[in-house]
Amino acid sequence: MIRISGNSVTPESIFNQLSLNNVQRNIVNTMATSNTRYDFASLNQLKFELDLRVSIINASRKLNSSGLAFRVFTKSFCNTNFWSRTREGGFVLKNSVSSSEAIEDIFRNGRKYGTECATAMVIIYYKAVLDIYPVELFNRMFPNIQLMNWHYLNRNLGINNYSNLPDYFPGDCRYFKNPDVNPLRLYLQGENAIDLGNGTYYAHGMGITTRDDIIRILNRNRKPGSRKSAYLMDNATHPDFKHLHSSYSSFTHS
Amino acid sequence: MDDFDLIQKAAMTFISQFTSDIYNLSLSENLSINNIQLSCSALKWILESRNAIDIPDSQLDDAIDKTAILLASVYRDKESLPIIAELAFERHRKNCFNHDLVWAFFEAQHINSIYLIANRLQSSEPMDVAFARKLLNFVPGINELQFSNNQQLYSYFNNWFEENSSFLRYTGESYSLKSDPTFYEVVLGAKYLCKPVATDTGQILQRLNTNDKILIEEFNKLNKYAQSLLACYSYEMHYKDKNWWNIWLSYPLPFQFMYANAWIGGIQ
Repeated sequence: MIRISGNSVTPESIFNQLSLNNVQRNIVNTMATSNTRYDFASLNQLKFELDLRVSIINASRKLNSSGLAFRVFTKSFCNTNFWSRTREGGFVLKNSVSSSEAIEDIFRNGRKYGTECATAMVIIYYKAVLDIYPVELFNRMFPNIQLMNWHYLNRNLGINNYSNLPDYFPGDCRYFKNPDVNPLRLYLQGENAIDLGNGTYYAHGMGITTRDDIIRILNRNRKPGSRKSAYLMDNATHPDFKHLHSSYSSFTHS
Repeated sequence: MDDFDLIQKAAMTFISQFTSDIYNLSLSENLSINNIQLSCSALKWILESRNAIDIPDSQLDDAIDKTAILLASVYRDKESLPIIAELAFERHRKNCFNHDLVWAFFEAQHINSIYLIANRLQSSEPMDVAFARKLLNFVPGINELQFSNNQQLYSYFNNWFEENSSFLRYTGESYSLKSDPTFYEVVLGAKYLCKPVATDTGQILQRLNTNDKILIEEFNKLNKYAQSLLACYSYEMHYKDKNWWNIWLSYPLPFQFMYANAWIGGIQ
């Protein structure tokens, strides 16, 4: 069920008021037919989440074609015009550059960067927000960025991992776990992947592929003799859409 | 060649494999040093002699990580866990990468080795204490409650661990999934029945009788709060007054809940 300002609304009434693409319409239909109640303070708040989810999907496709390499943290590398590599293998924004330019550079000069899958997900989130926010707001909200899997996240992004959700949506980051990973290929202990909404996922290092293919690749990298298959976990990671909308709304109305 | 030479030679073979192209490493190739005892001794030698191994630091850290991973997750060698824990804390203090070491440590699934982390709660080094609290976040309240000193913090952990260690299941969560993985969780149904579990599966180790099965089926229908309350009360009564515990467990769940609630009221 979807409620806006406390009133329940039908998908049709939403479609009449908003111009939505197929992915967004599917999200609305899933929310509307769910046993869970999805509350929004306004139609704009719902529209913002739908737009940001599409922006996450678009940023995933852009990162996939950026040339970004797959590297474990001990072998990671970055464009030092914009980022400093930390001793842990993460990247810290340089003082002399703006966060918007530095995030854009990863997509423009992907070949100058190499990192692992979780960090790629975080890069996608920053880019997705950057593509929706005015640059001035983005730089104000994210003056300091550090990229290192799910660590050191800027609080304004509000990224959280949620377990046992009733519904999953395009734009969610899902996790494929490989419980019996070959310990010498620990970077395949699991794969973070963005749900692209058409039965495919973007997983850094694997590209755009299906759920079955991700599981097949992970299964090929198990301990010899393992019988435990890799699987898609019942959880999802995503930014705090409402918080991001609130900042966006305040900025654009000021 | 004497034993020491053999161990050193095997260790050097491991190091040269670890420092080659990491993406093409195959576990079976690495275990091709097919004498398990020799492999284990060689890997331990790498950990113990790490400061004397003459390779660049970045390669050495990588080799140590792989050594730790093999010892802990393949050989389940609990003797190497103190060094692995020490290395993880040392790297944390230096802001160096330690995620694979942490993974290796917990992947060993050796419950009592959790004390190797918990002992750092008493450290005079604040970074160690903070890191230990983070790793022990499966202990409710350990990161939220205020403690007047580190000894009190350690006692809090110790009391919790004594009560729950028999019922802990390894979750397999890691830094690849989230920034604050929860490495263990309490199997509340097992605590409710006061029966220990297998750490890797969370399955109760003892055979359940018909009555136990009925109890656990009803218990599993309850919400998390009710499960937690009943499990705590059950454990406490089993420990303090087994006769009463048997009587209490024979009551229907609403009555069990009533007694547990009254107990909470009483101890608050």
